[in-house]
Amino acid sequence: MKILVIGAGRVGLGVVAALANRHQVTVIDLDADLLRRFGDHHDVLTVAGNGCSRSTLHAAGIATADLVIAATDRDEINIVAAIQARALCSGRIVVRTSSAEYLTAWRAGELPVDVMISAENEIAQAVVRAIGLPGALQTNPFADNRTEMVEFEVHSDATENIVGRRIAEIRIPDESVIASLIRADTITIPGGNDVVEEGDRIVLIASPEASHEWAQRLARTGVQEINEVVVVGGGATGRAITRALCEQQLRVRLIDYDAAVARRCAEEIEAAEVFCADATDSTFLEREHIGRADAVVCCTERDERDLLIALLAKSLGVRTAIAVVGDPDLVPIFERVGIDHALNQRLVVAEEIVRYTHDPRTQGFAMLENDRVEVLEISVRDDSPLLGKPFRDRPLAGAIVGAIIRGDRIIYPRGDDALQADDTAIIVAEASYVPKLESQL
Amino acid sequence: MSIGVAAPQRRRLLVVDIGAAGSMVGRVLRWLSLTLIVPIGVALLYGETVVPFLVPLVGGFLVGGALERVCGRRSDQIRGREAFAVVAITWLFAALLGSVPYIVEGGDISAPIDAYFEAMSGFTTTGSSVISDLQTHNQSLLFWRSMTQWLGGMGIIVLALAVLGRTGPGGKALLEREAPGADTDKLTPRLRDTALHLWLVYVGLSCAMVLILYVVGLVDHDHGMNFYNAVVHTFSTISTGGFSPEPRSLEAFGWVAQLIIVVFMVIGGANFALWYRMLHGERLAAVRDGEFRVYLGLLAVASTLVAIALIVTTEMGVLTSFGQATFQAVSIMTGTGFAVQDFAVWTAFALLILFLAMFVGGCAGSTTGAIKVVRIRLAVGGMRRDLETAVHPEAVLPVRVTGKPVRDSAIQGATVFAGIYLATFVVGAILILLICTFRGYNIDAFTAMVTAATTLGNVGPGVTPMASFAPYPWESKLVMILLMWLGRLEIISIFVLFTRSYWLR
Repeated sequence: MKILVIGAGRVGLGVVAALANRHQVTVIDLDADLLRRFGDHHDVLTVAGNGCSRSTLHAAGIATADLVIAATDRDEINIVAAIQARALCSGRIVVRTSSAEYLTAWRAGELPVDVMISAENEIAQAVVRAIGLPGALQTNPFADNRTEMVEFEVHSDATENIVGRRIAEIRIPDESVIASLIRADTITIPGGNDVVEEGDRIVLIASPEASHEWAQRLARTGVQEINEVVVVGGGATGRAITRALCEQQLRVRLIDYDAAVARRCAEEIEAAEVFCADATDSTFLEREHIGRADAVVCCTERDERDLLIALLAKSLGVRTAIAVVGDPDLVPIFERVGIDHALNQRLVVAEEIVRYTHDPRTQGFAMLENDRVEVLEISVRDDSPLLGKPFRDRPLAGAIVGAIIRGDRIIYPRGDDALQADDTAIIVAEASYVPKLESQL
Repeated sequence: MSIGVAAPQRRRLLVVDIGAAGSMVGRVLRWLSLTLIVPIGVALLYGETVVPFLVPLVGGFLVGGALERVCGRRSDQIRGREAFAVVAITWLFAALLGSVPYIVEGGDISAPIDAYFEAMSGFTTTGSSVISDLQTHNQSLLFWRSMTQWLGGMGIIVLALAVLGRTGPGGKALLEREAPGADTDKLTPRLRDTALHLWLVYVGLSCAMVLILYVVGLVDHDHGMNFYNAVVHTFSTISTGGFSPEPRSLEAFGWVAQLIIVVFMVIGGANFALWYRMLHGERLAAVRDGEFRVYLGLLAVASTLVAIALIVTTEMGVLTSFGQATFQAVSIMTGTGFAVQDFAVWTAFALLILFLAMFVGGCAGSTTGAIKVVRIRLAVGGMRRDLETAVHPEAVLPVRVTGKPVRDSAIQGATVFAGIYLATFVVGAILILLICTFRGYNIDAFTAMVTAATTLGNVGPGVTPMASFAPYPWESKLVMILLMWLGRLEIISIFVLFTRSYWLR
């Protein structure tokens, strides 16, 4: 697939990193130096110039592009580039925006764009998912939120200890399927005889109710439901997170040290309590009883500040600390020093954009374990060779069907079930196996 | 040889364009004098003398025209700065024009100070009167008296803007100086259209009310409510003025007419932009508007409190008490000032509530005076915010009005206005009491306070609603005239004229 990426900023870089190995990628950016360094790291073509300009787009080969991704920091540039691209090529156009206003306009069909993605919204949803299911490492919704993929880490001090048991011995709720078992670096599709070990991660496809049940069973003692959240940093990301958390009927307090930013937040989000203060000021934290919050979300402009505030909050008694990290390389470090969830905008958005490089039939998509495992929501072709073959015979080696959406019903398949025409399947597979899978289905 | 150059003098220059301002005043006056054609028509209809109206009609037209000519026909060069002076002076001239019929008629208010009082009370929609015996006056004169309220209600300048059209850069400032309320929103891209639309809504509501009252008079055999009375009472209801040609105010009319008048007083006290928006597709504008809801709420609270007082202290019965209380509370809070009963005999608690209601007024952009609901909301919001921040000093709490955050300067403006309003009230009350005491006219402190509040808030009745202000010494009438003028133009617009920095650079 020929892909044109406009803008080599944080998001653009993330997209390129996820796509460069599998597709022909061209990157456009104004900054020639940045592009040169970029070209050294990734196997891509770079074009220096303005992504809105006709001549630059032509030079980058827009006429033959299958997918155009406008991912600069400026919404207006992205939209103008998209309008220009729409006139010059027939491929799909994905635009990144940080404005809720433009998202609304796109949903109303007023912008000539196929997909609009808001990095801030994606992060906000990720935070909501992390807070909504305490203990879950990752959750991704599928089929209009009717089912979801959830990843849990298994510990022996959980409410229900499943360490040392065979898969066949574990009670599995009706509306859920164990899709894979991740141990260190190996990913297995579990059979009944596999034994769960301490520190394993299990990936489930389950209805929201069933995943809640799983969350309760696998929750480590001391993990409780979250009612009160403190968000630090009132930038576009902080505001999106605050708004999303307020929608979940949580009590949200937002802290920013910039008076103008704080004022803007307070005006925009009526449901949140906004404070203009330094989140590292211990007298302030004490006076406002920040330590009594259930979770803290740090999304200031600087990663080291996020880390400091998150650790400070944990030392005051906040149970869950979430940080939005600018540098994707810092994600594992953050998690190692005690931050419960480190989210990276680039990875989150890249995941969302990568979804659109798939077969057009793919409706939902998630990445696990740094893109080594993919979860797809894909509709089944009428002439697929897999139709009617029961899952007991393992027709899809290297992949497992976690759920089947058949009309209004969602089926969590057992051995006797089989795919039918017009089904949509949610499939967990190793990334390298995905292209083959798509052709088979 | 050298030419001596004068050392630069540190001269203070006049920055107000007096020519343009004078020209604008003259122009408005000229057009305003033409409205006297209406009472001339009424006089002819009733076979009464037209001289009292002919004199100001010709005089006003000539004086206005002359003023315009002397100043060089530059009324389109008004800027924001001149707007203050234009509005203040136009209103003084308008009252002058309006007082001429009373003087020429030669009745019991032919003394210039009394005539001017009556005219200022009319244009400012106050409704205080110095007429001792209404029955000695011509129908046409009492018609004109109510008509001044109708003209002043929506505003003379707004009317002029609607008629004159092009006003130059100062048009918006003129509108803002005159239209009551904290903020003026243009409804249409062009200012003239906004002024025109507001007047059309005003005229439309007035026509509706005349029709309804007239029909009620026919069907209900309400003998007091003939066509003349329907028109005259519409004039003073929709403008929340309160002049009635009936000596006992509205006591003579049946309850249906009174109910209709209550409804239209409430309408007159609401923002006219709301009615405009409701006519232009936004059917629920009034329901959604927070200020309107609070306004209704305050009316309900005041009515209920007065009703309770009446139920406890009188033999009126629950239903009558509520009816009386609602009428009086609405009439006083909106600054109309009609009475359906001599409320002077009511218990002190009811009087206190009515006195306090005088300070509230209606919504911004209405025809009412006083502090207004929007400012009270802003001030209360600011106060609540300050209470919160006392406990949480870092909390950022924007004050919201109808869900929309407002600028801190708006809160400050509202609070300052309320402060200046109360200060003006205090000074006014002291002056009135002082003058009356020195001139041997005995009134008590509460009467002085009510008199100051009723004139400053453009409400109308004093402690005794059916009595006139005629016996007051003339100096105190002058104070009342000033208070009415200040109250109608929202005080600050006029106080600005007394600062050095307004006139000089």
